[in-house]
Formats: sequence, structure tokens, C-alpha cells
Amino acid sequence: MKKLLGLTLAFTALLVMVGCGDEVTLVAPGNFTIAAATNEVDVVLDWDVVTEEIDGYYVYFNTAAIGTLTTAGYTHVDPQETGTYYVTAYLDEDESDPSTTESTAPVIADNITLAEINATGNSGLGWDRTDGSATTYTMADATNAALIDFYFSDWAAGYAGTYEFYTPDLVETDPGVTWPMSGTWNSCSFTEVLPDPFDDVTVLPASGYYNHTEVTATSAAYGVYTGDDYFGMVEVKSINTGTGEVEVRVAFQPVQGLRILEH
Amino acid sequence: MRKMAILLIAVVALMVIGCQPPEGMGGVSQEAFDELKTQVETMQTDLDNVHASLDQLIEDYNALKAKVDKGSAPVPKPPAPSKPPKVKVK
Repeated sequence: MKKLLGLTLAFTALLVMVGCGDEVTLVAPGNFTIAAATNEVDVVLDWDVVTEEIDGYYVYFNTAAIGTLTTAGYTHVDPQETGTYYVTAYLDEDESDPSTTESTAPVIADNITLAEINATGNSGLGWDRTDGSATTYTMADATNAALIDFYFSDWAAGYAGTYEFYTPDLVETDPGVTWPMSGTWNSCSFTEVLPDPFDDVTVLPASGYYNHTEVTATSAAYGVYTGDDYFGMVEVKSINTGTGEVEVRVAFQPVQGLRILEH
Repeated sequence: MRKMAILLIAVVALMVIGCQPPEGMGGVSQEAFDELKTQVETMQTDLDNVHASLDQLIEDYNALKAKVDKGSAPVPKPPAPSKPPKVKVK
């Protein structure tokens, strides 16, 4: 009897040990990327297929699950807002760690002073493609050409004329340029004044971008489209005709080809 | 004899009077006088023209000076260079 009891206990303990074995660890989806769809307003998510046994994937936007999938790949249709994305793999009740997080949030830079090309200060502005930061540059140094997305000028000698933002590839014909200049300049285009103020803009227009646009009013926002298919926005905060300067706030969408600038 | 002397004197007196040049000509001939008169008239005409030109010049100067003094005639700005054509890119 004692022997039977001992065997029963040993078997029970074995069952308990097997039942309490390590939980299944799901592998997080790798190579997670986001990109703009060809319509410039949908966000296309992609990741590598998880080869281990899983039931599918969860897609998260701003930490809220927005999709449950059985295959890799997802398109967030016309979100009208920006934010962070990541995906997880799941099996029954188990869920993997999240993938890397990718963001569509525009990068905002405030209190930037741009000087008319004949005034004292930097006239060119460029956005870093990796982190979206904005930097001003002098147009007098053609070695900056590749870094500049647009510049500020009155298209005349001096700085008393009508101010405009110009595509850099026009600078070598700008009458305000009196110094020798030769470089490979970027192209850029601008909308007219947007109907909404800077903080209310969600999606930039699909068309209506010109090689220069007049800067006449403060608090006016303009859409910007770079030659390499990035979208940004400029708000004119103040205009000083005495010094030939404008103070601007800018936003840059780091996802190439995505027109959503909600912030 | 006395009568003869008086007559001789009278004849000499008449000759002297008869040989005097015409009054007011100063010994200048009528042709020279007319030529001189023509030259003077030409000079007078030239002088009148110079006066007229000078008057016009003074008038123009005064008008310009008045404008500058009042500051009512700003120097016109040179035309601004025409901006590049606005091209729709997208």
C-alpha cells in the first residue's frame, strides 16, 4: 500500500512538473518597416514572416490594436493622423514582444530665422532625412547645395522687395546673388497659403505645388514638397522688412512620400 | 575891288559849305552803314534767342528745385527684376 502511494505521488509530481514547463516564447516580427502608399495618405506596414508556429499578428497604432492578421503585411488606410506603429506575433493567448516601433509623427522645429539672401544670416533651410531635424545654411557656399531644401529671397538686390520661398535650383539666376556660384542644387515646390493654420493641418494637398511662393502674411502656413518626395510645412511667424528676416516654424514628415502632417 | 573881295569870300564860303559830308553819316558810306545795320540786327536776333534759352533754362531749374525742395518728386525706383515664371511642379 505504501509502495502504491509512493508511485502515485511520484506520478502526480511528474505530471505537475510537465504541466508547469517553460511557456512558449514567441519571436517578435523582424524587419518591421512603414512606408507611404502611392496615394500618399495610406501607411503600408511590412515585416518578415515569423517562421515559428503562430496564429497570426496584432498591429498596433499609438499603442491601440488596429488589426489582427494571419499573414504579414498591413495597410493603414487613410489614418488622417500620425503616430507610432508596431506589430506582435501571437499564438493562443501568448503574444510576442513588439517589433521595433516606427513613427509617422512629423518633426517640428520652431523659432527658426531665415534671412533674405542679401540680408545678414542664413537663407537656406534643409531637413535631415534621418531624424527630420531642420538646419539653416548660407546660400553663399555652394558646398551646402545638397543639404538645402528651400531658400528665402526677394528676387532682387537688397532685401526690400517682395519676399518668397524659392526652390534652390533657381538660386544661380537670383538677381540678389552677386557672388560666383556653381553647385548642384535641390529642387522643391510650395503650395499657396494653406486654408488651415499650421496646427490644424492634417493632410497636405495632393497638388498645387509651385517652384516659388509669396510670403506676405504672418501665421500663414505653406505645404512643401521636396524634389526627393518628402513633404513638409512652413509657418511664417513674423516678417521683418527692416532686417530682411522671417521667423518660421517648420514640420517635416520623415516617411518619404507621406502627406500626413497632423501633429 | 572891295566888291570883288566880298564876292570871292562868298564863293569860297559856298565851296567850303558845299564840300561838307552829309549830316549824321560820320563819313561812313550808306552801303557800309546798311551792312553794319544788318549785322547789328542779326546780333540782336541772336541775343534775343540766347535770352529766350536762358529764360527757359532758369524756368526748368526753378521747377526742378521746387520739386526737390518739397520732396514731392521721389526719384523713381528702377524696375524690379522680373521674377521667374511660376511653374506648377506637382
